[in-house]
Amino acid sequence: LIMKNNSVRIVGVNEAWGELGVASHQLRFTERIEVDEHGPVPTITSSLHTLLSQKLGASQVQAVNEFQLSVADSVFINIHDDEPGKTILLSWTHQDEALGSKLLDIIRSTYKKG
Amino acid sequence: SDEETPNKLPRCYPYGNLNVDDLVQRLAQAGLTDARVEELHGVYIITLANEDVIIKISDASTHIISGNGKLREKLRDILLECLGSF
Repeated sequence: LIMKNNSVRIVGVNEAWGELGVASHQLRFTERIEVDEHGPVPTITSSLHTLLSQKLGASQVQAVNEFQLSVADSVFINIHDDEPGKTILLSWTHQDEALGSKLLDIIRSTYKKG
Repeated sequence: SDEETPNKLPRCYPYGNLNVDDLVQRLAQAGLTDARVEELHGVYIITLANEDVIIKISDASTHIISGNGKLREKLRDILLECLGSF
């Protein structure tokens, strides 16, 4: 909603940036989650794919490759071999905060250490 | 199955440049006093070693890399205070 020259208009977010003459500032978050999983990385990627598809709907989750998933084309999940366990990197922008923090909760509660 | 997709819009849209000194001061006020600031080619890296957090700041973007979920939300709120938003 923009008020300008005594008129009120509704514009999209991207258009609003131009109208206001300011540049958006992108906030990105990457959370590192260490997990006690000893199988090969592709197996963990695949089981995480299955789990997230159940929770969010299969159309939301894509396998990018054997160690990376994307959710809703905006949140990225990387699985690294980090002997003796694995490290999951979850990365999202502030605009996807709701989805990102939900995924963080799911992954944390699924792979709780100990 | 408990299919649901969060489609909440962000609470706000941040804009502008981040003032690094302002951020470091606000971190200290929040009890995060071990911030180490490095600058290279206009990109600032703030390391909070005790908290396992790195904040990378360039002109139009800030990236928070952390292994501590609770602190992430606190840092997010401090950053949003430093930036203009609508």
